[in-house]
Amino acid sequence: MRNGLKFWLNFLCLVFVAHSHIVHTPTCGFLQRLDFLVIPLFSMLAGVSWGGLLKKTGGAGTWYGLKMLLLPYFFWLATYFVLNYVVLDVFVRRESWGVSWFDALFFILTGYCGIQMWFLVTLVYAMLIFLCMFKAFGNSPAFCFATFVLLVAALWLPDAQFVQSASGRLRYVEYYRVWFSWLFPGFCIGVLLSLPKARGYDAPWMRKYVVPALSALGFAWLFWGRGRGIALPAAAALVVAACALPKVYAPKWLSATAPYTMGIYLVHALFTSALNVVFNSTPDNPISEWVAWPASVAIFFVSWWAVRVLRRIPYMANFV
Amino acid sequence: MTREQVFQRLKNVFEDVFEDTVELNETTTAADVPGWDSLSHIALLVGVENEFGVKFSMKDVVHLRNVGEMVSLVLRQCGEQGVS
Repeated sequence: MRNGLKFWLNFLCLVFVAHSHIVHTPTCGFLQRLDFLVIPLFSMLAGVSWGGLLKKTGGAGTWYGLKMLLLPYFFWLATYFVLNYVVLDVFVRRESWGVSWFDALFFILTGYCGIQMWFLVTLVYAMLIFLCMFKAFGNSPAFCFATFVLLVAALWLPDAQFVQSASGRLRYVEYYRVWFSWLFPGFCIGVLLSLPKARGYDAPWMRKYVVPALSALGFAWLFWGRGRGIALPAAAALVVAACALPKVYAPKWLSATAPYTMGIYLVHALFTSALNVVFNSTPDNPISEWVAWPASVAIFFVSWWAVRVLRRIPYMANFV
Repeated sequence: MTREQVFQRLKNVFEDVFEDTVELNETTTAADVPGWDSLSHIALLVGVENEFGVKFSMKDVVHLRNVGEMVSLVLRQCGEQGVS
């Protein structure tokens, strides 16, 4: 089961990272509509993978995971802070320095320095919360129930009046909405989906009826879906389908690329930002599609190569 | 415990984590083993700790470059923590 599971989950991860860097390339942004499905889907995949690790290693693995996640978190936080608020704002756009101490504290606590930090900060807080829950409840039905409560809370919080007014005062409404509406619920659903035993997904009726139906639901969303209400079940449908599909040995190209998806996701914004600067691209003056699409493909492979190189450098490998 | 014995027990841990046969030598890195991603790495570290009854610090873990260094770390930790 593991190879089949890994193949399809890795394949979905690769789709996410390809989509993500295409969206962040100027002019290719019309694919942003797919964010509704792709962002919670990737968060869900992270939840499934992390839930599997939790079952296998208990709290020890999560504690390691949390500590190892803080290294890339602070490294990329500092990198994108310098890139976006010092290099781009002050030196390239010639704007005055506008970061207060309050902003700096907010950045550290929420990773608000680059759009791709959304995902990393969600993982940090999710691991912290789930570690506490695991310490309190262990691997029991109470843990499952607590995860469900967390999911409901995450879905409800963005629309709660007190959160709207608080986030409105802090000027970061959209940031909170993405965090609570897509990333956190996605992770919680992923953890819930990882709780059944692998052979539960392997049953013949799952493959015969559930997988085609859920796959159809997932793909139907691509054409008719709108908003998070349908996107979360559609993303969950694709993850369940990926878990239940028959065993497939991952081909070499996927085995070689899949472990780099997180690194590619973290690195690609350096190159898309450079593309913006080189072509002086703005929302009012976007670069030509003839440049954007080949550039997007090139950035994917350059990011992959950069991660491959970084992973071979001692200590740097911990950041990607 | 000899280096070869640690290597053999480490190979068992790897095969348990990756659920497949894994070719290991002193210079094997994450790039050489299909599926060795960050989550597998954590599962490996916990597996090695359980197998040898040792505890790693983050300082030790972040400096690991290959399987040979992992073997050396296990031997050092077993010596320091009095594990036979």
